[in-house]
Amino acid sequence: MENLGIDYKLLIAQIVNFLLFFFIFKKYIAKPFFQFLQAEKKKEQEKEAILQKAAKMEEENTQREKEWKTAARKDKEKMMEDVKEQGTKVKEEMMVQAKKEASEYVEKAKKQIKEERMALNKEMKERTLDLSLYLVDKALKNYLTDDVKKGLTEYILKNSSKDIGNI
Amino acid sequence: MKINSQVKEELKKYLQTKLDEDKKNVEIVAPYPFGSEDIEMVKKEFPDIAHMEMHVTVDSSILAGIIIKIGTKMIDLSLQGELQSLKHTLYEIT
Repeated sequence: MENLGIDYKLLIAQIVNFLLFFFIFKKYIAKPFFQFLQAEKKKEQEKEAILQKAAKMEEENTQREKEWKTAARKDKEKMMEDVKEQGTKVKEEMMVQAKKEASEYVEKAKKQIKEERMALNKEMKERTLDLSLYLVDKALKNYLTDDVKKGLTEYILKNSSKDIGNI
Repeated sequence: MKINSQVKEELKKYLQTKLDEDKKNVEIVAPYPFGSEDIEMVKKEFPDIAHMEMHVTVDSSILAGIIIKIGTKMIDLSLQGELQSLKHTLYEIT
């Protein structure tokens, strides 16, 4: 073996060294290291689980959002129809109300015209009367001389005294 | 407001005297100047006022007839009064 260049002492020393290294490594380095690797692996697994969960939640949210949008669109369409229907109804009611008010105004105006016409007629008659009596008064003033007045006064006195009685 | 009874009595007497004085006077509104004949005619037609003192005033606006005023009373026998009465009647009719 010495001819092959193998040193037994060195070899044994290296083997012992190796064993020592192996022993120390196994006891003091490998365990924590493996524990560390296990922890990392566990963390990775948890991360993956979380990611999967997040992806699932995102998918569910997307689905829910889609459903909401559909429902909102349907509600919106329904609301638009209701508003349209109500608008038409209100419009019809307003038309009816406006027609009613218009006819009331027309009636009121007709009544007012009639009343004014009657008042005007009455006033015209009164003025005609006034004018007629004024003309009679004027004519009599011109026509009645003292003699005529005397005669009339006598006639009035004779025909009135019987009706008066005691004063 | 309380009035003294004596003052009240005096006032009553005074007012009564005034009324009596007014009753003795007659105012006649005529359309032309009245002569004695006309006054006699009035006295004849209204014997109740014959004994009263007559004061005649001329107002041509009454046209014809007379207006007799005794105190607060007035008797309108004028043509103007009749015309006014006719006017009111016609107003009522129209």
